[in-house]
Amino acid sequence: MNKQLFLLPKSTQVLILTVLSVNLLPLLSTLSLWFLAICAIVVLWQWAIFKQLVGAPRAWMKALIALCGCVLLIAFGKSLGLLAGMIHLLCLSFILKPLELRRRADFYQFVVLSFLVTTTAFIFEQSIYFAMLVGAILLLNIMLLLSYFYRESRLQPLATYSTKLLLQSMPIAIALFVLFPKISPFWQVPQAKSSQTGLSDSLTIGDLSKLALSNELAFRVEFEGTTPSYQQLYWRAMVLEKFDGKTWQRKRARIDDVINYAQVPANRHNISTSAEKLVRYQIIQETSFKPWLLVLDLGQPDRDNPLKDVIVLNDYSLVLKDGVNKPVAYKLASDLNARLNLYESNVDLRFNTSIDASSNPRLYEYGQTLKENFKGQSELIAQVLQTIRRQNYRYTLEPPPIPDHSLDSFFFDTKAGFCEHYASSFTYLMRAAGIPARVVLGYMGGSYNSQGQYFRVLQREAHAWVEVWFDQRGWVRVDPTAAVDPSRVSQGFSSQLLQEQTALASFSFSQWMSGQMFDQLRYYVDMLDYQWTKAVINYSSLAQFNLLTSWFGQQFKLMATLSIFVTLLVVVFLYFAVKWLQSVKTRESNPHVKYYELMLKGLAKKGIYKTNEETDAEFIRKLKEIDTNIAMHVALVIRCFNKAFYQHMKVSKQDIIKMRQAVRQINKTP
Amino acid sequence: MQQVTEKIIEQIEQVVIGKHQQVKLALACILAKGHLLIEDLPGMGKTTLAHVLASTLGLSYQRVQFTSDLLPADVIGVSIFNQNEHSFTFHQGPLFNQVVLADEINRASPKTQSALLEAMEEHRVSVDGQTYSLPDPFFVIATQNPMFHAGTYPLPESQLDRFMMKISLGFPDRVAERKILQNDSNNAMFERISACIDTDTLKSMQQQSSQVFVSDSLLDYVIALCEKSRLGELQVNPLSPRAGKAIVAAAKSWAFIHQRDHVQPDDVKSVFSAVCEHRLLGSRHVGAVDYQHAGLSSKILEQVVSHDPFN
Repeated sequence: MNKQLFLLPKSTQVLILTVLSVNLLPLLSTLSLWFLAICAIVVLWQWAIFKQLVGAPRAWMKALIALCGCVLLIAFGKSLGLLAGMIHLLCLSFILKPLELRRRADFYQFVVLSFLVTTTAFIFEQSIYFAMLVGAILLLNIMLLLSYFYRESRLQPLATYSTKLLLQSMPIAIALFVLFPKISPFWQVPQAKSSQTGLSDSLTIGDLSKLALSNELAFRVEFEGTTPSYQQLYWRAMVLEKFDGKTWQRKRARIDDVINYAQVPANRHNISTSAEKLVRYQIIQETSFKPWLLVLDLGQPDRDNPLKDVIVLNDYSLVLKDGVNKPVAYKLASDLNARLNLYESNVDLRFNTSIDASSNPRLYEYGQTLKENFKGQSELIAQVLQTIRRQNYRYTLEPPPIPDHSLDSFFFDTKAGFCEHYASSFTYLMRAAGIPARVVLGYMGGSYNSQGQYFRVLQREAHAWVEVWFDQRGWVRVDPTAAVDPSRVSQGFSSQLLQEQTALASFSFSQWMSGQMFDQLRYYVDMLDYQWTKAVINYSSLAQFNLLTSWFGQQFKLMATLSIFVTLLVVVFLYFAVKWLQSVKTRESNPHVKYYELMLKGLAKKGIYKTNEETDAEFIRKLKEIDTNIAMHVALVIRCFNKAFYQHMKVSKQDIIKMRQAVRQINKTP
Repeated sequence: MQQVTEKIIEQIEQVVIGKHQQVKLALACILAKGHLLIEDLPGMGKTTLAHVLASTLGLSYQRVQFTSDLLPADVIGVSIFNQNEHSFTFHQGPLFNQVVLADEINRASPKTQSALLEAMEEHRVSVDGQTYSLPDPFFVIATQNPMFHAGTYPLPESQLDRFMMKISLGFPDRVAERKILQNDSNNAMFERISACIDTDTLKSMQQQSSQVFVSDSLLDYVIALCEKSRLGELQVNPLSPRAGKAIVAAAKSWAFIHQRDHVQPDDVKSVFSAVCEHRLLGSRHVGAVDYQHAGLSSKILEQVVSHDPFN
């Protein structure tokens, strides 16, 4: 066996180990624990190999490890889902690749893999801080690549040089980002199966109080012109009409059905046309993996800036066809005083009074009594709200356990709950009293960022309320939460509620940041992230088109830019092609130079470089230590070359033949 | 003739142990008719090398210890009134030898230094309107202490340029040092040294080494090296055409020592540091001798591809 020819510089080896451990950091939340354990073991093992505590692995060992990893992946594949499964596979190949760096091509593959693994994390998160973290890790990767060519063993100059390179390439990257035609992807990122927080498509008691513990961002809103008062900020997401005794669900469970049967025809987008009464705003919604968009009632997409594939359902909730799989921005216009659905068919209304009397008998009975006692619908509702206000109902994130999610025991016994308790009990009660009612799921309120002049709405502001049918008035919003905790709908979380939240939620950085101390800082930080999301993440092909039109005027055509780009590329290509042809020509006329250069190239492929400073004799001595056979052939080529180049200035046929053979031998040697 | 060079090197190395490269460089310098500057700490064998070199080559040899009160007349010679003849007769100074060892040249005052260096360039001295030719061949081997040593006057660039090469000996490795410690005293060894060649042979060797073939592609390489130093990127003193000539001459005699009839880039690379480091540094050179890094000259070598110098 030959000695291993391909030897990476020490700094490169150190960087490989660093990159191995650091590149997976952004993916920590995606990778499963058992996989991380494997990674740790493999990295430690490679460290041991690097420290020469153990020898390099045999081929069968490597095959065994790869096989084990694949078997584990197949075993866990189902539970991981397609996307996570693929990412696991990618990471597995990434951490195992350094075990078989035998040629330069292997090293290249590893670097490419390494870049790919790092950027994969952007599927799951795109915030500016995350981008900065990934940027820093990318810098390490660039250092890794450079360390191989730069032949600099100290890390600091490497880091400086890499940063310099990165900064120098920034303008090009920005120009490409802004100008290069944005082509929609040919494939869709498979949905992550992970536990995203956010509204789900159904509501069971306890759902929202769990969600209320999350300080994650749900969406941000920027109002144009007047900002509505806090009490009016009811962000509707979806309407739940079907109740099975425990859980509220949509009437049509499948989203396709909704899109096909429940759309509002365009001509019935019946909101008042007087522009001054409209509230205009832009929402930038974080990834929710659900189709629901948010809208103040009664709203519709802004006609001037339509978002593709938005559907208005006949309960006036908005749906994005493919789901919010990445942050989206959309502009809406709402008339806060307009009435929802003045006309509703009897069939639909009957559906909204149907309940199972046996599921919560006491509440049902109470509803029946109310129905008998009160003639007017509004008096009845006022009475119920009065009851909630007067009696000792509590609004809390930490309600006492309710057996079997029974509304009965909440309403009559424990009397303590979060908004969903009140909303679903209230709806049930209304229906029991024969009044059509439904639960609406969405968000309530938001905190104003005066630096950026926008609202940010967190997941904890998720809210459930009720809509009750009045003849002549349509669906009217009634929020029982307002009766039990008026401050919730006028200011947001009360201090007592916040305390509960902090106590219940596990510690997280975002929560720590949300403490009072950091308010000012938090506003700035959030504004930065907002601008990033607005400008970078949401830079769609439409936004690009608008921007370019504003720069180049209306005549701007996408095809024109494309052709300019292509022309530029062709020119650059031609320039290099001509240069290459010239070099080939000179090489052909000087065969000894050609073979000498071929020899250097062949050696470079094996990771052996002749520095300019090195004399031939030193170089051959170095080669002898690696492989005497190669050294012999190299010595022959160098001797012939020197003879031709420095002694006679012309070259004999025999020498050329000798050189050719030697170069072939060098390339053949592994 | 080749056996002669080998024999010379072998003999010198019996005394100057473990310094193969430096011995060869010193010999190359002399074959190229250049003056040699040896810079190192005291006690590293500078004087020994100069001494052995002179005696092996069979040249007349005189050592001048430079001190701060040394006057030009102490080096060149002085005219003294002869009472018998009622005239001034010129008494030759130590300069009138084939090899002059100017020991610790940087301890002398600039005036004395320049008197010596003028003689080096012109190969003759003028005293009282009379011109005296110096012997042929004529070499100055100067030694100097690193600049940070107290009581030294650094040589200015123009005078450094007169020396074809500057070499440092550096510490010996363990094997060599053991041998040095085992050996007799220097004096005993010097006595054993006999001349390998006579002056005529040396002259013919110089003649031959100057006739070593230099191809255009090699000249291109030397030009490219000089140009690199002139670009200002490396912040070095630019190399003058005289430096370029010195490189070629030194490379020629290096090739001659290695028994080749033509010069290869290897030869240039081998002598480049010795020929150019002191020119590149100039008088900015302050501090200890750096044995590890050849420094500026290797930076220039690094940037030029020998077989394709202008790319």
